[in-house]
Amino acid sequence: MGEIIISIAVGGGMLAVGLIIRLVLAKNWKQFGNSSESQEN
Amino acid sequence: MDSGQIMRIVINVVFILAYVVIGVLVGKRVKSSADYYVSGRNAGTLLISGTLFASMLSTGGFMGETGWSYGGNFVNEMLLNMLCGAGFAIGCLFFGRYLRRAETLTMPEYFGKRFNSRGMQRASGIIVVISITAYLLAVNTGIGVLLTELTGIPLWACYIISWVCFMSFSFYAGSKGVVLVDTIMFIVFLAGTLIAAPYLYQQEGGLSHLLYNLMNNPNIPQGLLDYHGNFAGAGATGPFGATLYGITYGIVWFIVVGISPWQAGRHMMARTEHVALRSGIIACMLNTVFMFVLHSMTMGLLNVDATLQPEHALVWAFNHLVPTVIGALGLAGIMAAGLSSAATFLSVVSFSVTNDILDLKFKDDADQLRKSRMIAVVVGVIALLLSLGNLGGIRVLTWLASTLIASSWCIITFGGIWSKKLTARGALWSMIAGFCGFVIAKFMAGFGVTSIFSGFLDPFFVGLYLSIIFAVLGSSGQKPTTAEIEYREFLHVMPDREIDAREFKITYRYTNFIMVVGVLFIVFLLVFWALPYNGLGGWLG
Repeated sequence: MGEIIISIAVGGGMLAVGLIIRLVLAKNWKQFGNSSESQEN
Repeated sequence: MDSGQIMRIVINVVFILAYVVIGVLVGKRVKSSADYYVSGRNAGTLLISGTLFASMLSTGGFMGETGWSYGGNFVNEMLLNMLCGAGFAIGCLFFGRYLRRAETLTMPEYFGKRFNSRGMQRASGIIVVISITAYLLAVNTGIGVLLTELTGIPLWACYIISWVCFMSFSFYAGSKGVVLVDTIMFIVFLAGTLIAAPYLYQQEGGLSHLLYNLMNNPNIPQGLLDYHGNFAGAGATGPFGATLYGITYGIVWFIVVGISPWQAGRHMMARTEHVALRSGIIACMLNTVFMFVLHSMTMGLLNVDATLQPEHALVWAFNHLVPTVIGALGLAGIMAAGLSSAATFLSVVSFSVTNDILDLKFKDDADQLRKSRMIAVVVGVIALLLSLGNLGGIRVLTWLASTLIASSWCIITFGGIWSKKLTARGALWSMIAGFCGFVIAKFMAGFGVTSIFSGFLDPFFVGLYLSIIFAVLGSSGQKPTTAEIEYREFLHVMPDREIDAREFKITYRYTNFIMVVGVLFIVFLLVFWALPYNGLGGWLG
């Protein structure tokens, strides 16, 4: 059964990378993007 | 000399000449020190991902690591590569893009600015020179040995050929040349491997039957297809130790590619932070999926001949199992991987000598460019002399290569961005303690003084733990200066040019893509390995 865990861990690693970057960028956009848009307005 | 050998030599010579010509042409377009050190800070996604991956993968990756898979540790390698790959992207997210905002020429210069300390810049520059010179010598030895095997030319002459090649585009064209040629080399080894792969799989009984054939092969190493891999190959006595080996080295390399100057330094050359992040994502996928292909086709050679010398299994396969032209392309790819790493290492070392260690006075930017090139030649000549003295083959020297920097820099890189308490004194103590801890533990382990330095007590982690302790001790009783606090706050402000909804959307597409690839890879591994191997269905061939 260890093989199943390793399979999920290896593919899951890439999944986690994508998810973490997306979440952090979304937070960045909330922090900087909104203020930049409101300045333009 | 047979016709196949002549073909291999001709193809390799053509590629080497092409690298030299491109390097010279690019060198003519280098007009400023920013072009020379950080490629004008305008490299695109293909160039950054190409140079990230090419700098990381060298002859050691193509020969030593594939040999480890052939020897029974394919699964450990898969786990290690995934963790290492994640370092490209996560390292950029939490460090690389902040480093880019600093707009310095080298990483030690960044430390100097961040902690407002010339001593930090110089000390980190010295660590770069020690560690990366050792790495350069080890890689150059690998290239020389491979070239000798391919051509029959004496080793000393191969060192010179290899040196002339990577010097030609690194000293004259600086980062602009290294980044471009690295990317071309990246395409060469990617193409060489992927074109050779179907031929090798076919010789091994077909990709769809790979698992079935290996399961029925009595000559495969013990544990090859199990989740823990081969115990002996991982220096373990049981499944826990063997799995832990893959995980700990995966964490080590996660940190190495996340913060090392020859990796994180690439982000300083990216056109934007988004380009740096996208490149990290691509490098992450390549390090997991491409490396899976490379290692699985080498592991499959066990179905052809299980008595090969592991480190030479892939070279043997390129020489004997695929059409001559394709084999020559594959070998040119291995050579390219070595040369690209060597060129990157040489440029990183010479940049640090010029910019971080020596107190040089430049009249203007042109003077800085000229002197940087002169010092690159001097550093290159010293590296060649050390190679000719066969220092790269000395084991003790290779202990100082690659992971030493990450062990001593990990805390100050991430701490410099994320800690409000880390002071200049704490950072300096942390770096020196990490360096000393790593070196002492590595030498004690290497000379057989004790066997305790393994797993989470590997010399890398010993350096890391000491680095944490001394960062706390050094920072205690004092507060960061106003200059340090302001600089750190400046790094946390996303520059206006980066705040563009379209750029965010494109980067989101990359994150979506890697998530889809991740899910597909889970399904692939389950269907073609984990489930059938456990008799739970899937595809056995």
